[in-house]
Amino acid sequence: MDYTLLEKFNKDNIIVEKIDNLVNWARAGSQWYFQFGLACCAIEMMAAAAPRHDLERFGAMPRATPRQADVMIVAGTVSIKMAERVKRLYEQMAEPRYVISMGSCANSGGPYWQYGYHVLKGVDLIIPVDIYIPGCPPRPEALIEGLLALQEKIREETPFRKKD
Amino acid sequence: MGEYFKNIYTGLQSFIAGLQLSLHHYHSRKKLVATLQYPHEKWPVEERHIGFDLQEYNVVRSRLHVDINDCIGCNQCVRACPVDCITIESVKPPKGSEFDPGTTSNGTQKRMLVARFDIDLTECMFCNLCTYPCPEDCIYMVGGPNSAKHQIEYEYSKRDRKDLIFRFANPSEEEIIAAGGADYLAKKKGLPPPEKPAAEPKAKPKTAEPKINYEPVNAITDRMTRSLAKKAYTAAVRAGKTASETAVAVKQALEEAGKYSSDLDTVMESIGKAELMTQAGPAPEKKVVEQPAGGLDIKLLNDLTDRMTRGIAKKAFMAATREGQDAKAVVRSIQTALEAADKFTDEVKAVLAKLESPGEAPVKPAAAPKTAAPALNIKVLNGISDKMTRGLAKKTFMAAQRAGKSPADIVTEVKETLEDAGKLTPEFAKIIDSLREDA
Amino acid sequence: MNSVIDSMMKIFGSLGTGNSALGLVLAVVIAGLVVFTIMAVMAIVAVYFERKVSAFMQDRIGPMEVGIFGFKGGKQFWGGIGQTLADTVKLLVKEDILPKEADKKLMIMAPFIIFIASFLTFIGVPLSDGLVVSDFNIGVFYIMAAGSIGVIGIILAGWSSNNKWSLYGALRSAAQIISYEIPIGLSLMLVVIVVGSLNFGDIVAWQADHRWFFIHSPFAFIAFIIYVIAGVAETNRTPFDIPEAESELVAGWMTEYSGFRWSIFFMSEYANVLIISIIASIIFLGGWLSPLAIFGVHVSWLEGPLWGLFWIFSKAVFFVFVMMWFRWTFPRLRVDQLMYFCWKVLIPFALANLIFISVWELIF
Repeated sequence: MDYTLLEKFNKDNIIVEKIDNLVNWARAGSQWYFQFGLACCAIEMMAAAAPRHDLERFGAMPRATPRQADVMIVAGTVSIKMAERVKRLYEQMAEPRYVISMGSCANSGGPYWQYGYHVLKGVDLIIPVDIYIPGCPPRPEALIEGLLALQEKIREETPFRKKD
Repeated sequence: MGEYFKNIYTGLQSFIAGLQLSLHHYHSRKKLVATLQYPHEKWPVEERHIGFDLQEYNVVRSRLHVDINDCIGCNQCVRACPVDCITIESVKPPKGSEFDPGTTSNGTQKRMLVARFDIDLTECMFCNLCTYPCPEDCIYMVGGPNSAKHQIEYEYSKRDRKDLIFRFANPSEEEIIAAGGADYLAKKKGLPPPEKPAAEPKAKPKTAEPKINYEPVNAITDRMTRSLAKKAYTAAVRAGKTASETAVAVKQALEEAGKYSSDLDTVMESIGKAELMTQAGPAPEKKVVEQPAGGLDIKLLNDLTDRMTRGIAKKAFMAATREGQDAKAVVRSIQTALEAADKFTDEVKAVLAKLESPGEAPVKPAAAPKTAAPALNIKVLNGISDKMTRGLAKKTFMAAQRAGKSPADIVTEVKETLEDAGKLTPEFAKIIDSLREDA
Repeated sequence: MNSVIDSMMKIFGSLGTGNSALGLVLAVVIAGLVVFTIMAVMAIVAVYFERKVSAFMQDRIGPMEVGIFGFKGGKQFWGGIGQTLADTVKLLVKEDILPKEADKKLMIMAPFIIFIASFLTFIGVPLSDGLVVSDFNIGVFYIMAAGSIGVIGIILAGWSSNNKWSLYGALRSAAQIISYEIPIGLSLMLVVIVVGSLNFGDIVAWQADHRWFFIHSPFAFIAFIIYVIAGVAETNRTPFDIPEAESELVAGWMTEYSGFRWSIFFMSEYANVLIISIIASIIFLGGWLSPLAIFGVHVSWLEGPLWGLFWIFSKAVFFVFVMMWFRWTFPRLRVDQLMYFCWKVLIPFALANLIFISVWELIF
């Protein structure tokens, strides 16, 4: 295909690639999480932020307001009543935003998937999820591994380059 | 005033004490830091003794794993799972097939090919209940005591939810078809089932094995007696007795049970004369309830409104028809049965009279009034909101229609029935009246 | 004490531009850029420092994985050096949210007002002998006045966010800052009474002649303690961080800010911390004098413009550490406890202090 000069420049060149790398590195290395602990998985999230397994080593600082957070860790069972609020808070987050679904209940309703009339069967029914962490509840190491997987996913993004 | 200064003094004390504590933690950081730097240092073992020995119990709840070659498809884990997250579909090779599913590592011969073994790990709650009933220990939680079979794994996050459904069984299509699962495969793909190879006699030739002839025994009308007689008859026949010996044995059994009466004598005679085994030929076809000559339609009995009566009448009808009796005999047997049950009312008599009269064309009697009289639309009755009332009204409507009554009569009858049941409200009455307007 | 502007004007004069407007503008701009750089660098370093210090006090290690310039993070101690840089870049490229119902003009203005307040305060703060952007002869008074401008920014931020929690946070913060300016003022006034001048240069010169101020008399020591505590309250840091910590509980006056605007708030907070620390070190700890000046010994090779800079910065860093130490030791004070503490404890003590120091000065 014939590209114009500008298109070629936008598509792939060393400057844009380096800027991409810088921005991806910055975003991956400084994921401020919006702690959305709803149920038992919240305890594991707190355990992950505690000194034994330290989430701050990866630059993940807990923020209580969605406007300053990058990643929302949905930890716990999302009931239908809470689902509205989850959606609202997700929309209040500033882009670029990511969601980690932690635990069985957030992945697919978990143990309540068959008869739970009050449970939303998976938080990905209302918000787009990037990483699913299985476990009931997942160990803090599993949560950290999920965060590292998210960092990898971020590093694959191309915010400034147009992907073909 | 004194308290004011005491407060300030206490404040100062706690101020200094707190500062000392943090400073201590700051200065002794090399000794006191408790962090386990996760990706570089992993530590999946609890350091405290929590009451369970690591060699016997999965102290860390990790992933479930299935050694599919060991699975015999017994479904015990499916039944044990409290959240129903395991799905197993297996294909059983038909009798005589040469497909060998193999043996498990414990030496058990497998009898089924496990075609699908899915564990949905987004629904699983890692309670370990599925691992206990497995007879082959093929489903287990990795790590801990099972470290020899599979390394511990508890961090396996994925980007897509579908990736978390672990499919442990992956038989190839040829394997499934070799195991006789062509139907299963077709159903999974949503195709129509494949054609069966023709001329394969599925039923074993009945000539090989003669069946016992129960006709003489079936003549006994009382159920309890009949079953006792049949048991004795079967035992005798299988023991190889002759007809008369069988009759004697049956009579003996019935006498012992105290159920022998004199009108069973004829039955005993017929046993003595009967052919004990039916020879050759295909299995006797089930006597389909065809209309015997004379317009005997079992549907005529549907006019009986009482459920119990109707049931008894129909049973008697079937029994009589099977014996090939004519209309009169059928009616008589029905009458007998109903009298015995004390349900022989005038209504029944009228219905039975209809049965007797031959020559009625074997068409659905319900069709006749429909074409004769202006058709009333039963759907109007759907306007009645109460379920019980609606049902009752419809039943009466249908009965009246089949009886060939005029529209006015039908309406009156429906209303009467509802009034008898105490369910006629002005609203319903209006709806019933509107039946006439439609017609 | 000369000011930087004066020095630069002299340089420009010798270069030929003379006392023209161009020279003035150039000098001002350069000075402003330098101050801005100091503030930014301070924010970056302080955030990293704080995260590490807080981690050590909590028995963990801080950021470790974000390396810089090929220095991969990991198990080494300084593994997380690139952390703040990553934070900054991330905040710069984050989406800017202005809620629909919010007052847009005010919301955009608020961070800048706070920033301007810190900036203006920095102008009067000397960093060494002769290294001050503008040598006010009412130095102390100017610092206090300029520092109060920040309150306007906070109230604007809370009001314009169209968020009731933000408003609560902002008003509490305003009440807190205004209240705690009184003990600060009273302590500084004590210094002025003893020294007799509002100029920073004169204060340090006095300390060169006498001892460092905080050991001048026990009342001066009490004034020092009051100043430090009230200074912590001025900057909205724990244990007085009710306005900010509501961020951690519900919301705070910074809730609706994201990305770059929020980073300005963040930067001005740490700049304020630095200002308070520098002023404390100048007024109470001898400024750019060496520690030997406590004993009245003046060693000439330990004092000079560059050495002075070193001494001020080390003392300021010590104070910054103390403020972080406070933050990770004490739980938060409730609003009523905060106000009680200010009006019923600090202010009576400061006033009593003034009386006693006057008596002391008369006697000694």
